[in-house]
Amino acid sequence: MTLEIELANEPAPQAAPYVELTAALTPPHRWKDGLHSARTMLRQSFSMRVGIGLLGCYLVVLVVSLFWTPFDPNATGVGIPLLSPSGANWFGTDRLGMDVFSRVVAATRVDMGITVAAVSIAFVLGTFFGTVAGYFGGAIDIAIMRFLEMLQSFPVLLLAMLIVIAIGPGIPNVILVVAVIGVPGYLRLARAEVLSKKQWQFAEAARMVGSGSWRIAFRHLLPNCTSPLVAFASINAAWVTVIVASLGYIGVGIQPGAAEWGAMISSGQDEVVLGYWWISFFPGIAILGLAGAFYMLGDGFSDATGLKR
Amino acid sequence: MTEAMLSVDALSGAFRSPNGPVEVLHEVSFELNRGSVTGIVGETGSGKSLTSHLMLQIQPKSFMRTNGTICFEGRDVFTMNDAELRAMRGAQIGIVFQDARAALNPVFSIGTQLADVCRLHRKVSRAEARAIAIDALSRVEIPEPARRARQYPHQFSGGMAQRAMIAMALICEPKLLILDEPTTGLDVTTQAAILDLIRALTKESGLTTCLITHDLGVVAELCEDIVVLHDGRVREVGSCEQIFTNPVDSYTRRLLDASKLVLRDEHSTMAEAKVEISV
Repeated sequence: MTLEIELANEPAPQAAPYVELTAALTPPHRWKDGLHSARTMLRQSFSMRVGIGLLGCYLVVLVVSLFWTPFDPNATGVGIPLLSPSGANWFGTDRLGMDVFSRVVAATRVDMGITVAAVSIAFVLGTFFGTVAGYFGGAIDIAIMRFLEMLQSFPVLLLAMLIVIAIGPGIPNVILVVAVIGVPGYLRLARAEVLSKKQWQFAEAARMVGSGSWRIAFRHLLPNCTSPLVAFASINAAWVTVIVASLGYIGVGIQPGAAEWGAMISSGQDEVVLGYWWISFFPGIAILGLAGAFYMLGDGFSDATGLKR
Repeated sequence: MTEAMLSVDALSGAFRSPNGPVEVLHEVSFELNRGSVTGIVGETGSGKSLTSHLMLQIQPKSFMRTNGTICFEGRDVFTMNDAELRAMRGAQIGIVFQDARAALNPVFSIGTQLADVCRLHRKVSRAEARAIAIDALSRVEIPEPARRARQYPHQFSGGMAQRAMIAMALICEPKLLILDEPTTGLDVTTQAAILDLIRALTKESGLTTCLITHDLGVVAELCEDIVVLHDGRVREVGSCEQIFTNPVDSYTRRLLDASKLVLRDEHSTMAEAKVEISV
């Protein structure tokens, strides 16, 4: 307390001991602050380490698959069909003689790509409309929420199927459909967060210095809501992975015969009863791994930032 | 005679409620004179904060004005449109709150917030705004302003945060500064320091200041003119000396009595009552 009084009456030159103390306690640079807190989060959370590690592996596989796979994932009729896993074919071959490992690796591009793209689009759209609905309220809020309820009243896969049948197959369409399905979660979360923080003093203070409504909503309120949204995004990505694979399993949206985990499970399921387990098993493990990685990342992030889920 | 910077004229209003309108302001009239420090005193619920919010037109939506005007520099604030109000807030009128740390955005550094307010009202580059922000922090006597500008609100102590808030209110050099209970919640030493700061800033820039408080000690120390509000009515208006030595209204007298701040004066009728000077 005595130090504070010194500060109040006598500026910097005489405040040396206080300055040294606070310099020791405060990290000097802002970007290092960010790195420092990221390292702390990783150190504290086992889930987060596992999640990031696994995601990293998938990413490496994805990048490598763009340049090289052991065998051509789309070459039909070249190899010997239904070989069990061995040194030459790590995951064995399927009914058409294609190497299962190469196909699983190639499918990473499709599944992970669609998941990441769809989650990003859903995040941006959902957060934007959620903030608008939460901050402005009134008729806009009512309109957005009623639309959302209409969207959410359909079973997810059914809705996806209907939309894809309507707009045609192809990867961009699938991304769009999955993004639209994912929007409600982000929208509700962003809206709830903004609603709860709307009355906080700093929001009123921002208005009192002359900020307009849009500025307050997006520049002042939204940055305070990012933690739950990021945690949700990660766990949502796990769910989206499974949705994408399910769509492939049903055979909606993807070219028949294309390398995609869900489609591979579907094509291999008849062989399982005959004892050729590897055709469906390895794509399944791939889905499990990716979804699990996203989930653990989100879980770890929630724990690290102290969020209740 | 100094012209009034802001004049409240017969302002009356009520809040909408399920049981009908609740009258909260009754013909409130007073003036804020240019270059002086005016104190608005009253107990909780007297309408002092509401009046300050009305000056900036940030009152709750359930408030209805039934009569009166608030003229800032000759213009009635009730007739201003959104764009004019946004230009007025921050640039012409600055406001400081009681809880400084709550009024600062927790996810941005102090420097960023100050620079943002600056860029909102003036066309300056980011680097210039940052320099202005650091200068503003040094004007409110925060040591090491450049380092403090990089810190976040939770790293500031109460008194420091209050200074930062004052810096934010003054950064665009407004003509009027409103302080809503600026020292309530601070310890006595910090309180004294903040009041000294306000006095110094007012003197050096000829600022018109409106200090809203329930603490008569603060008012006695800082204000030249006093407006006493009770239950949405103006009970008394006068200079500081006049109010403390010779209060006319009975409520004012009761208020002074309760705070034991009546000054002994041989001509005053208060001489018979319990008189104490407390520090």
